[in-house]
Amino acid sequence: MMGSKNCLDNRGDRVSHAGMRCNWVSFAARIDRQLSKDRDARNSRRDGTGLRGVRLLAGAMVLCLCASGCTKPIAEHATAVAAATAPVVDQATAAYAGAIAIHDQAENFDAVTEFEKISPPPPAPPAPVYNPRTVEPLLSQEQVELRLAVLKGLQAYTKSVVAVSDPDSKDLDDAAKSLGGSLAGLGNSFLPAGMTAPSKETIVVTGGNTTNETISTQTPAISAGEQKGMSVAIDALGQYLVSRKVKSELPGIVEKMDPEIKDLCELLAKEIDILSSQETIDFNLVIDRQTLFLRTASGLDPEVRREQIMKLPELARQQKQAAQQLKVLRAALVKLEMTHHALAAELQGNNPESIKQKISDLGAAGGNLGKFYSSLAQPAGK
Amino acid sequence: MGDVVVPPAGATPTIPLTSQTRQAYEDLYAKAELAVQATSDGTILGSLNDTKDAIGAVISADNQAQLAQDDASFKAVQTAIGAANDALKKLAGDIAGVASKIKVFGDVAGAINVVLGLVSAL
Repeated sequence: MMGSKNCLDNRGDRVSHAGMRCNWVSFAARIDRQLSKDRDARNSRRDGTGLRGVRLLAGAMVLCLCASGCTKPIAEHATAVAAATAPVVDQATAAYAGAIAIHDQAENFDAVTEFEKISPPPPAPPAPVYNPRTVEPLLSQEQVELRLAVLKGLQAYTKSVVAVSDPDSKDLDDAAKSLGGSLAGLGNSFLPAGMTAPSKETIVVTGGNTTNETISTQTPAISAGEQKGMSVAIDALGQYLVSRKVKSELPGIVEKMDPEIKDLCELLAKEIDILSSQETIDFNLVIDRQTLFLRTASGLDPEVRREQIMKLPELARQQKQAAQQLKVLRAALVKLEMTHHALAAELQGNNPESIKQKISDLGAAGGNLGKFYSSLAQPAGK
Repeated sequence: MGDVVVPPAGATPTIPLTSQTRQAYEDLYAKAELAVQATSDGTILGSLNDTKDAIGAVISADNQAQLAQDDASFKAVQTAIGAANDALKKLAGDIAGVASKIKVFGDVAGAINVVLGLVSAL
């Protein structure tokens, strides 16, 4: 456990990016190679100032990105939280539905007892008249909806954290491509055109005399490669701005939510204990009342009696399965609390290697829990 | 069970139960259930079932009371999650805003280019 205190182990209020692995060095090299290749292939009439400008811009963008760090580790941790949340939401929803269903069944069995209850002889008060309208459900519709709304909100929260920590870059890519293209168009309108290297030697025969001619063709001031370089640099600037926004705001949101997630996990764990207690009582009532009926009912068709007796083990199996599901859910809650706390610690820069290892383990455990839940969701006997 | 005394037959326990009283009822219920499971005589079984279910009814009432008490806590968590989701929605909007602002620059540059093209054609 991460300890009972709600606050994180802050060593300062600034976000540290130490330890983050980035691929921006190879990114820089790629831009540089692309631009050098482009330059070598051309024999530009220009002095190369524009090209150096683009390279400088790309280099500056890369430095910006290196300085800001990257959001990849945060996205991985956010994904681990989402993976740990999914089984909690699914299993808690199933747990409430299961507990309500067996409670309703127990109420049905209890109805027989209450309906047939014989009043004791006077002066003792008569037995109350059974009225099915007075039967109370385990949880009212409003109570169920409140709990499901909280679980849906939790799922939306973890999905949003994943989305903002690893934003879809398609819009940014398209915008950068569009701006790169527009700027290249402007450059080609304003800057003088370049010329290609002599590419062809032709022998021209004029009146018996032969002459050699070299042919050069006019090229745009900004080549396709330079345009790509500009688009990549703009994209990098956009990513830097996004990264800066995420790093300035996401830690505060997640840190504020950390004690709430802890409270929610504890609250759900408490309710699991209640559901477990209630399911025990309800399953016992159903099995015991059915057993009593089969032991005392006279005149029951032997074949029907046999079939009813054979249904008892299935009820016992359902009881064990329900108990096992609640046990798994309890474990999933602990893991959710820990993975969220680890994410909050990562965002605060307080993520020693041991916590990183725990996150990795918990991420895998979240996946296993999801698979395990799916297997439990199969109908009995299949 | 120590000093905790389960209310005598016919008396109604106060719900919610104290933790000690609750534990006493749970212990009693477990013993009654064991007795039910060990009995095959129909007459005795009926009597044991009635006793066990009466104890179970008290625990059930306590369970329902506890679930009702939790409603306030769920509402508080719901409010906190709602606030976090609103903040994340705003952050997602700001992130999308970066791309849209770059797109605006691109559109403006494209429009200038079109105008220049028209002017040069004149």
